Amino acid sequence: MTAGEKSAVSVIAALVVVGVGYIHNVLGMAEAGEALTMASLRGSVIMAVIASVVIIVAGHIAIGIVDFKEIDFTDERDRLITLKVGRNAGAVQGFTLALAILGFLIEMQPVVLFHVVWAGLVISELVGAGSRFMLYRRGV
Amino acid sequence: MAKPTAITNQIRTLRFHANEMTQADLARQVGVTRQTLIAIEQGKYSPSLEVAFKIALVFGVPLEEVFQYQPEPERGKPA
Repeated sequence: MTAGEKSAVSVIAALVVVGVGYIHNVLGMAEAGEALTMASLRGSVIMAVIASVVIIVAGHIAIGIVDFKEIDFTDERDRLITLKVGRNAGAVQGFTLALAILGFLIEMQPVVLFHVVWAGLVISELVGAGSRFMLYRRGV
Repeated sequence: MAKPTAITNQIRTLRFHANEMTQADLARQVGVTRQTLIAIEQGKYSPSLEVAFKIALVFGVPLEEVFQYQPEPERGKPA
């Protein structure tokens, strides 16, 4: 597995682990009868963001140590893949932003709107990492 | 599986005839990563003209000896 593929896998793993943890936490709060408001979820959201950043950074440091020669140098293929990944992730972000605008127009609750936008960011990162993995593995 | 490109190449053969040059050596001389050279050699990536010319230059042969273009026959037309 190349450094690019490892990087994509580490991002997917981090986001899936943190996402599952966050959903588990929120479902637990709902089952306990807690109101799901921005105030009550703030701690979980901050923890999820910090955990995902820490796991992704740690993963990339580990990849950098193992594949230091490879990660140090990029070429035209890497740049092309980065462009295609950005296009795919951007399309998902645009779609979820449109959903959020629609939600705003129909006066959706702020906590729901926040989660639509946040889920859009997370899913776009997942799509980006997935397409990076596929492009490195299958060819551009 | 990604659709293979219509461009084929003789890089593997040319490396063999160049004292069994390694992929890493060729990649270094051309200025790309070894992974990119492997992708080019396997037909998974069509390089830019600049990289294509650099590969030909390393082997000291014309570009068409390294890369060949084989267009697919158009649909509905006899081959």
